[in-house]
Amino acid sequence: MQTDEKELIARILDGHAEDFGYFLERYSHEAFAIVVRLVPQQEDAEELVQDAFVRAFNRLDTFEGRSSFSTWICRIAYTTAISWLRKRRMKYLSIDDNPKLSDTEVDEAFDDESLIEDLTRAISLLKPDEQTLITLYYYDNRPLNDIAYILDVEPNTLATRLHRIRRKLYLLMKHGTNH
Amino acid sequence: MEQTTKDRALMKALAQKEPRQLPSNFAYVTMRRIKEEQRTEERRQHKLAIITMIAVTLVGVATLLYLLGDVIWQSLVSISLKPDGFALVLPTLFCLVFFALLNHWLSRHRTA
Repeated sequence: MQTDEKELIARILDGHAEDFGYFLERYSHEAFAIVVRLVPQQEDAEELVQDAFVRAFNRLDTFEGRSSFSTWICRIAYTTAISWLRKRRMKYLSIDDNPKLSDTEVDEAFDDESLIEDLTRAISLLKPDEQTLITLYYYDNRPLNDIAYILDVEPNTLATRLHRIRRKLYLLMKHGTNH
Repeated sequence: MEQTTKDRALMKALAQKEPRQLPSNFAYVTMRRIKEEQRTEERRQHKLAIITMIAVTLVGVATLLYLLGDVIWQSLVSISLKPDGFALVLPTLFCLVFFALLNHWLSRHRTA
């Protein structure tokens, strides 16, 4: 974390609440990008990001600077969205793995640009944590340690999870609509 | 997993899901909510402080009366029997009211 951000946090904790505007301006779009992929309605996503920032403000004294502020607020936004989804008990497709499926087959499909529409549909059928994981890794190119912190999982399990999600995504793409 | 050189279709599919934008006044609206919540919390803390103060005062007075009730009562009775027994009471009351008003004025002046 940048030194001036540390100073700003110290100032906010000292009573200068208006300085929190800097973090809102700078990081709200990142947090929103995570939440809006999980929550279908724009208004709900905006409210959840707002809840996340209010929570971050109220718990600012617990921020120890071990991760960047961006990763910290993304984690809060993610957990806020997941709790919201759990309360609404949204259903997601589960699909059994096919042991006969080869990784080469999956890799080739993910490289075939004629399958983009099918892939887009299959992504929307993944569970929220799976969608977030592949987005953070493949699209945002975030380091695995940051992703593990945001999703609150062990970093050494991420490679396996990514591998499993790739296979699931392929199966959903091929058969998802029949389940 | 070398996602930079392969997975082109996956990358493009994820890009298609690129989210909508936050409204431009999002930071302003959120700051307003944070300040409102701060004010609500301050009011709650203030109420809690008053309730605690009243409770502590009541417990203190009750303890004092329980331990020294008889002594206080006997002192009041003996003072009231003397002709100039209450000579000190009026100035003391005046001082109490004066300091209470001064305290109130100082508190208002400090928060303003």
